[in-house]
Amino acid sequence: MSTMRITKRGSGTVLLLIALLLTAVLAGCGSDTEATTTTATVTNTTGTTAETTTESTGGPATGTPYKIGLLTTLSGPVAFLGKDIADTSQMEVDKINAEGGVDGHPIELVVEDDGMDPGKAVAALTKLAQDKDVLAITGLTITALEPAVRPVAEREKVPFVILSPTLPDLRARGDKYVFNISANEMNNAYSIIQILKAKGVTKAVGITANAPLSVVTLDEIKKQAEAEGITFSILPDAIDTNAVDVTPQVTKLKELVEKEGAQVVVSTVWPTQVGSMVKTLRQLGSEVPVVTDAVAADNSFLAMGGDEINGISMPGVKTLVVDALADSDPQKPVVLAFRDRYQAKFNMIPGAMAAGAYDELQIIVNALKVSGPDRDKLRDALEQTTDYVGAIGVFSYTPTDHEGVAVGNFALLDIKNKAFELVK
Amino acid sequence: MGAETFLQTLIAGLIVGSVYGLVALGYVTIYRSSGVVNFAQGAFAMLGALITMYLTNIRHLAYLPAALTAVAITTAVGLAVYVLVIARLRTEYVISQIMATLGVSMLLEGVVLVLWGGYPQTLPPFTTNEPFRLWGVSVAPQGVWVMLMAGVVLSGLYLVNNRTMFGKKMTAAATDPMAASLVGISRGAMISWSFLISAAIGATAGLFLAAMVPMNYASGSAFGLKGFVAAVLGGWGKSAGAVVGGLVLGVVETFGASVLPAGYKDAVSFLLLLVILYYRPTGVLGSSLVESD
Repeated sequence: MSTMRITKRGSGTVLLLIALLLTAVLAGCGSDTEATTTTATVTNTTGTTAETTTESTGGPATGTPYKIGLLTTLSGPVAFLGKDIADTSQMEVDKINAEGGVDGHPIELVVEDDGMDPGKAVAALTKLAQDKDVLAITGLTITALEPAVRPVAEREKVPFVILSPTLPDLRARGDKYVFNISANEMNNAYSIIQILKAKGVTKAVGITANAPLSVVTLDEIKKQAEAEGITFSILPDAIDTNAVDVTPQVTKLKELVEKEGAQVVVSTVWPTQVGSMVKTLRQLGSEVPVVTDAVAADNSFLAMGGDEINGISMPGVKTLVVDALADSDPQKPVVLAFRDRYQAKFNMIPGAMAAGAYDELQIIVNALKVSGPDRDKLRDALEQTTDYVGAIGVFSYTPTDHEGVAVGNFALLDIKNKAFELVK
Repeated sequence: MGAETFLQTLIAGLIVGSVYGLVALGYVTIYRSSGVVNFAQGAFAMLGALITMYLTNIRHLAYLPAALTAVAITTAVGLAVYVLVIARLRTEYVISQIMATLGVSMLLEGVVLVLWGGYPQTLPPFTTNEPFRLWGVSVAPQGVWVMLMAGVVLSGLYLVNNRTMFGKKMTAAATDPMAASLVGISRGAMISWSFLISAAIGATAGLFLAAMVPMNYASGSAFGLKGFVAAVLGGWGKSAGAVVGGLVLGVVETFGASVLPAGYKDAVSFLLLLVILYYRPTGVLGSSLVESD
C-alpha cells in the first residue's frame, strides 16, 4: 500500500517537472521562431525594383524595423478574404522595404487572426496593441467586429486604420484613433444615384438584405434619390443573407415594381443572393434592370451566376476597369501600377479588399515618414493626410473626419458578357 | 396571399425541399446499415458541387462529363471515409464514429479551401433556364429536375432494398449483424456500399444546390444540418421519411420566409422540428428506431 502511494506521488512530481521543462523549451523555441521571422522580413534579396516611387533611398532598408500590426480573418467562412488582405499587405511591405522602407527602417508586418469572432479579435488586437513596438494596426475584414475592437484601439491609444465600413452610429462616437479606409454608405449611394441619373431613371424600387450595413445603405440611397427628384419605394421584405430560395421576396418585389411603375430595382442584397434574385425575377417574367451596390463589385461576383447577371449595374472599385479610365483621372496611374503588380504576383485582378489593403498600408507609411516611430505623432500625421491618391479613392483626413474617401471614388460599371465595363 | 403567390411559394418550397430530401436520404442510408449519423453528408454535397466547378472552370470539361466525374470522385471519397476512418474506429461507442464524421467534414472543407480558394460560385442548371407556366405560376425546368431526381432516387432505393438480393443483404446486416455474418454477409461490405450510395446521392444534391445558390467550401455544413433535421422530421431511419421530411421542411421554411421577416426562416424550421419531436417523436411517417412514450 505505502509503496504504491509513494510511487504515485513520485510519478506526479516527475510529470510536473516534465511539464515545466516542456514549457521552458517551447517558450525558448517560440522566441527563436520570432527572431527568425524578424530576420526573414528584414532581409530582401530581390534588390530595388525599377518602378518609380515618391521616395527611394536607393537601397534596401536596414535599420530597426517599424512594426505594423495586421488584424485579419484567416480562419472560418471568410478566410479567403482575409488571406487576400494579408497577402496583398505582405506584397506591399516587401516592395516598400526594397525601396528603402521608411527613412531606412524596414516595415515589419505582424499578422494576427481574428477568426471572425469578436472575443478572439479583442484578444488579438490587445496583444498587438500592447507590443510597444507596434506603431499602428490595420486590417479588419468584418463590420460586425467593430463594436468590440474599436474601444480597444481607443483604450490602448494605437492608430487603427480599418478596412471594414463603419455604420453611422459607430462613426458618431468620434473615435480618436480609428481611421476608415472603406468608402461608406454615402459614397456608395452617391455613385448609385450617378448610375440612375446616367440611365435617366425617375422611379425606382429598393430591396435589401437583413444585414445592418445593407439596410443603412439602402436608406441612404433612398434619401439621396429623393433629393434628386427620383421616386423611391423600399420593399418591406428583406432577403436573408443565407437564403437558398428567394421566390417569396422576389414575387413581392415584382408586384411592387409593377404597382409603382418603377424603371429599375436598386438592391443592397448580399452578393451571393443577387444572382438568384435576378434569375428569379426573370423567371417570373419581369425584365426590370437591377442596380446593385458596390459590395458586389468584384470579379468573383461574375462566377456567382449565369447569363442572368448580364445587364446588372453597380459602382465598383476602379481596379476592375482601370484600362478604360480617362487619362485625366488622377487615380489612373496609381490604380494601374497596383493592378499590374497584383496581377503579376497573384494572377487575378485585385478587388476592393486588395485595393483597401494597399491603401491602408500606404497611408500609414506616408504618415510614418512625417511622424517617425511615435503612436500619437503618427495619429496626428494621419489626420493631416490631404488628397492622398489611392486605389480606392482620394483620401483626406482631418481631426474631426476620420472617414477619408471623397465621394465619386467608384467607377460606374455595367456587366456585359460576364465582364465589367464602364457605364456609357 | 393570392392563389398564384401561394402556388408559387409552394412550388419553390417543394423544390428546395427535394434537395433537403436528397441530403436526408444520404443520412438515412448510412444510418440504417451502420448506426452512424454521418455528419460529413453536407461535405459530400459540397464536394460534388465544387469538384464539378473545378472541372468545368479550370479543366474546361463540358458540364455532363464533369458532373459525372465529380459524383464518381465523391463516391470514392465516401468509401475512403468508411474504410480509412469509420471502420478503423473499432469501438462499441458509435458516438466516437459520429464525432469522427464531424472531423472528416472539417478536413474536407479545409482541403477544398486550400485547393480552390473561397470565392462562392454557381453551376449552370441541367437544361435551359426558360421557365414554363403552369396554372399561372412560373416553374423553372431545374426545379422539375430536382423533384424528379428525388423521386427517382427514393424509388431506386426502395426497389433495391425490397426487391433485390443485395438490398435484403443490407437490411439483414443492419438488423442483426451477428446473424448476417453467420450466413456469409459481410457487415463491412454492406456498410461500404451504404457509404458509396450516400456519397453519390449527396454529390448529386450538391449539383442541384450549386445551380440555385453560390457555394464554396463552407456551404456544406448548413445544408448538412438541414438534411439531418429533415431526416429526423420525416421519421428517422425511413427513406420515405427522409424525402417527406425534406419536403415538409422546404415548404414550411419557404412559407415562413414569405410571411415572416427575413432571418426568422431558420427559427421556423427548428420550431417545427421541436413541435414534431414533442408531439410525435417518431417523426411524420413514424419510425421504429425511435423510442416514443
